Amino acid sequence: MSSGFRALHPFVIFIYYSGAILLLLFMFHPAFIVVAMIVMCAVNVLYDGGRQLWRWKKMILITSLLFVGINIFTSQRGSHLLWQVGDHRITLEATLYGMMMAGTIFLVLALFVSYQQVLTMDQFFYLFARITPQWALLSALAIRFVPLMKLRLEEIQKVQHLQHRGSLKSWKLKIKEKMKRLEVLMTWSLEGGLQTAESMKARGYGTVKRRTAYTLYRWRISDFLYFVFLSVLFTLCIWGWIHGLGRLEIYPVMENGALSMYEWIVLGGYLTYLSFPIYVEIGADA
Amino acid sequence: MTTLACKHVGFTYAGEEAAVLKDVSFSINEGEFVLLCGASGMGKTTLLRLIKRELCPAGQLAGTIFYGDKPLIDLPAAQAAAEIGMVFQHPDHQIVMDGCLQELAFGMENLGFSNHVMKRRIAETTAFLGIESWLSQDVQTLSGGQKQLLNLAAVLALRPKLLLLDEPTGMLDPIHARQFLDALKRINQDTEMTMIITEHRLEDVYPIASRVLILDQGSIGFDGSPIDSIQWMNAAGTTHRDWVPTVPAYALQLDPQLKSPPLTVNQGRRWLRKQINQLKEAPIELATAKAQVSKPFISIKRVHFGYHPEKGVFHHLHFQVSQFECVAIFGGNGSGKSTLLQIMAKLLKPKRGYVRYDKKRLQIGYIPQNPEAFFMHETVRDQIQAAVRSDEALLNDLVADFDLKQLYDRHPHDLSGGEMQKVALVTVLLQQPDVLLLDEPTKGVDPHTKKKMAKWMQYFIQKGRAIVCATHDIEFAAIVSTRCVLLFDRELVVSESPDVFFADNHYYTTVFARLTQGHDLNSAQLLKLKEMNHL
Repeated sequence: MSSGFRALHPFVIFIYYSGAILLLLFMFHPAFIVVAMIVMCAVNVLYDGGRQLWRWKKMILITSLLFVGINIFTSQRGSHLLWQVGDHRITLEATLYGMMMAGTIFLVLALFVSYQQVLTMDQFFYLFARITPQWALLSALAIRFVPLMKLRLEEIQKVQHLQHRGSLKSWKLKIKEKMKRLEVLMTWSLEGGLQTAESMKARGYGTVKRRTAYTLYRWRISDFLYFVFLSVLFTLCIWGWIHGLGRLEIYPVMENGALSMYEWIVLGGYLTYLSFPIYVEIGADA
Repeated sequence: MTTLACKHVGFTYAGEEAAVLKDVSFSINEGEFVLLCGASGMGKTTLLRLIKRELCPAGQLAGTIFYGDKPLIDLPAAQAAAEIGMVFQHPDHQIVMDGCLQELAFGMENLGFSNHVMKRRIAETTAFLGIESWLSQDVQTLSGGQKQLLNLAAVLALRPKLLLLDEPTGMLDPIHARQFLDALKRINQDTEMTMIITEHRLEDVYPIASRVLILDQGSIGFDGSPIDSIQWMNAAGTTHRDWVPTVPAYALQLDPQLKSPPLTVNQGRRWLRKQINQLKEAPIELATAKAQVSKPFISIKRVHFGYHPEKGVFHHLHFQVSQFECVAIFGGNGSGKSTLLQIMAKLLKPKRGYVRYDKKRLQIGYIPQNPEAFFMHETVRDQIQAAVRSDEALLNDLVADFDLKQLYDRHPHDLSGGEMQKVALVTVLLQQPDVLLLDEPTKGVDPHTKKKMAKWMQYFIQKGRAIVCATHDIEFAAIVSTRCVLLFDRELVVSESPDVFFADNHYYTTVFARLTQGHDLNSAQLLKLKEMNHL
């Protein structure tokens, strides 16, 4: 696809993702999180029908349950009592907080999944190889790691499953085995990473001061306008955040969740910022 | 003009006492295609890495390496990176970028080439190698063979004067390996580029190499033409003799005094025609193999399977494995060989049909395509010893036969592709499963080790067990298998004994069959010829 969001200057794309991750982490309010979840799902559907994100379903489900569960069972703070199990108080605050945490984790993951599909390695090097070649090399390897590691883990699991079919009875042994698998995965991936680094060195990475770029990314007026547009929206959201908008105070006393007029405006800006890829893409198609 | 010269080069790895290379001296002229041989662990890779300056390992270097007329160390960094290119064994690990075009440009970008020059060189290189059609693809969608061609193209785009290739086809199936070597041959002939290659697939490299260097005990044991090297190997004892390619090996068996043995099938057939009269006196002793009938270990009935519903891998597939059987599964890339193995192991569930075992606790050993996934221990020693069930004697036999002592302290992931296969096979053999499923067991394995693998696999099935192996290695399958099956168009098209299978095929067959097809030989003579190359 060479039109739409991906066709923008890599700098704009990178700015979008950096801004988005900050906003996702800062805006801690159920309404904001729900809106963002819808938008992030839509962004993922736009690129590959959400297939990559769907692969993470098990992980997402487990971490979400873990966050909500741990929060409910460790925190008894809050005044809105939902349930009382023996001595333990399950409060609305703790439940809500756990759910919001889980939501944020999901959002960050969804953003990363779409980032991987949009910003190519080539664009990444274009942006960073000149400024900090060492750092760019390291992050490039790290980014490549994630999808490779998932494939490899599946393979290790298959083989090891056969090796121990039903022979590991106690959960202690099972956990030990699982840890072992992760260790194998790490060595395998590191070994591969090392060879990748060698292949880069063999082809002269870092020998010449000024690295050139094969693909020329032109900085067009539209890129500048998009940049200004994103900056304005980002500033609006951060301004709101500084003034306590888009944040739900839960502890010690939970605020009223209803949105004020200003908060609606900030939510509007937030929504517009996050859905940037969607309307750029649709605009390009039309 | 001399491209490269090594003068008394020796090397000792940091922290080790014994030197890998002791005294290596040779010089290579422009345009030569040099095959570097030697058993595993003889320092082939070390030597190549010393020449590729950026990858020089840590340790003590003695002697001098000259590039042109200057010492290699004095070469400017950018020139060293561009003019000495290197392609490694593992196709995946060399790729840095996620798009093919970007990967090709990567090296040139590093060296600060202008955009215009890059475009031209990429256009030129890809046209030469015939890979333009998949330039816009994502790297992960390519097959192993395509990836390796891409790696070659990426190095070629820098216009190297000296190309180093470290077992470049070690991870490829024979068909892709042939394609890769053909590309090398064309480059060498068209551009006079100097090449040094280490390879196990001597069959295919011999006809294109102009010179052979054999590393032996840390120095150059042989330096000369391919034809003379065959004489040397044949005389130098069993370890080296196993490296002699099939065609000259047959010829030398018949006539050990032969001065210039045939190298290709074409030459071999012509040579054999002259020898037919000699063979006519061969004694007639036909051994008939006893057919063993028993209940199948694994039976697969009416299996349907597909990763995508629209293009299935299997359609109504039947397959059985019984005791005393070693089944070789052939088929092109993507025909579902690996999938079939995983279905048999019940790692994948068929959409329809069933997989049945003859007993509830049928033990299955499985070595996947990437043996890395198989290793769970820090060292080869732990890996092997953890697998021992009760049979210490078997352990000692296997370790001695495969010469594993020298690998004992290495991490399994540090081994070369062939060594990994070897260690993985030893591990599963020690576990003594009922059925052994092997996925390309001879990938990157040298001929000497291959013979031993075949021997142990035959020993394994004689104990009333079974082996199924997916392979592209026809020569190997012809020795070990008792039955050959061919997967094609979602079906199992042929299932025959290897003799019938290979005699009927014209291209997809052994060198032996290609040598003898159409010649006027009776079955006893065929048998005699054939047995020569047996174990």
